[in-house]
Amino acid sequence: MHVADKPSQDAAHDAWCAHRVSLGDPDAERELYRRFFPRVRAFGWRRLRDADAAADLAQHVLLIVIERLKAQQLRDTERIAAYVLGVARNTLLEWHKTEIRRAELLSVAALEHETTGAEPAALPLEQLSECLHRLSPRERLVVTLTFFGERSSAEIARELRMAEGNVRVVRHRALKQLHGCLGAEA
Amino acid sequence: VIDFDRLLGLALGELSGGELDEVEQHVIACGECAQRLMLLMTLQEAVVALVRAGRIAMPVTRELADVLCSAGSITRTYVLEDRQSVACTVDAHDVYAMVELRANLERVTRLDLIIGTPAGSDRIEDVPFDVADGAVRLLSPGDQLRSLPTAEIHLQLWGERAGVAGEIGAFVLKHTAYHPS
Repeated sequence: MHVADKPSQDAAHDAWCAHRVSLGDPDAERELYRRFFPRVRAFGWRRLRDADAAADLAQHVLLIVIERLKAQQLRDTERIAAYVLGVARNTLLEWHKTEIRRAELLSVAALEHETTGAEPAALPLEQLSECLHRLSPRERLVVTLTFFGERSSAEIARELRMAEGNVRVVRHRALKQLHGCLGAEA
Repeated sequence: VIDFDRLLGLALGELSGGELDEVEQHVIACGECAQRLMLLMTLQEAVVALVRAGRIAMPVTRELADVLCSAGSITRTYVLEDRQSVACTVDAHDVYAMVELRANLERVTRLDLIIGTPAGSDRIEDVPFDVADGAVRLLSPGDQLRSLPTAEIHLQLWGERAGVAGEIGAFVLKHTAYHPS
């Protein structure tokens, strides 16, 4: 199974992996790590705005989760996703509160940082530039205001004198077109 | 799989309270959604890098122009009143040049910008404009301008005022080609 599995399959397989980890299965540890790493990293990247720090967070969180599973601290393994999210949120709070350097926390890592086949590759800027210029100027402006200007759809609507719903439609269409142009699925 | 707009809302930090909690929970439980979120975050970084590098050509709002000016990205600005022509050029250090076209925009409901060069003409439909300060702003990447030959560039604002279509303003840029020293 890979990261593109459907949520229901994700949940069932996540629970199975967590259960196996709690029984001491080392292959299941790796599988659980591989499955959750991209998800926690995505969560962390959004919060931290830093891809490296997000990878550190994912590694740290999953080490804690695996240790706790092995110590039988999670009885209902079907709740593994909620449990991982809770640990991730608490870890972020802890980092903010104590200002302990992440590198120090990670120095006790028992697992090597593993790539999962879903590393966030940097987008080719030349190709992205071409794709952006295939959009209409208004779509390009909406994408720029969204990502560079960090404007909400309501703010863009005010700035461009458009209906907010129309901004969402333009933005959705533009991003879908960009994903298609870059060879990814929207 | 979660609704794309909610995922985008998460990526952009637009969600709060229960909705934020719900979408974050979903991302942790759904590998495909996490992958889509990562793509959005990667796309955001790349778009920011391109804009900062002076690679995006487009009409801009006054607010976005202000942000780019403050960041030092707009290194050259030409302000033209209706019927005015201006001599212009570009040098090696220009990131973006901005042309600010000023005209009477009162009661204008829609504007197109027609750009005429010796190579042909291009029409940018429905450009953003600011009625209050009567301006349309066009951003051009330095690289693009450095590749232009010496030429006259004719800019025409065409729009609707009180339901009647017509010319709103006309401007000329007399561009001198860039010659690296």
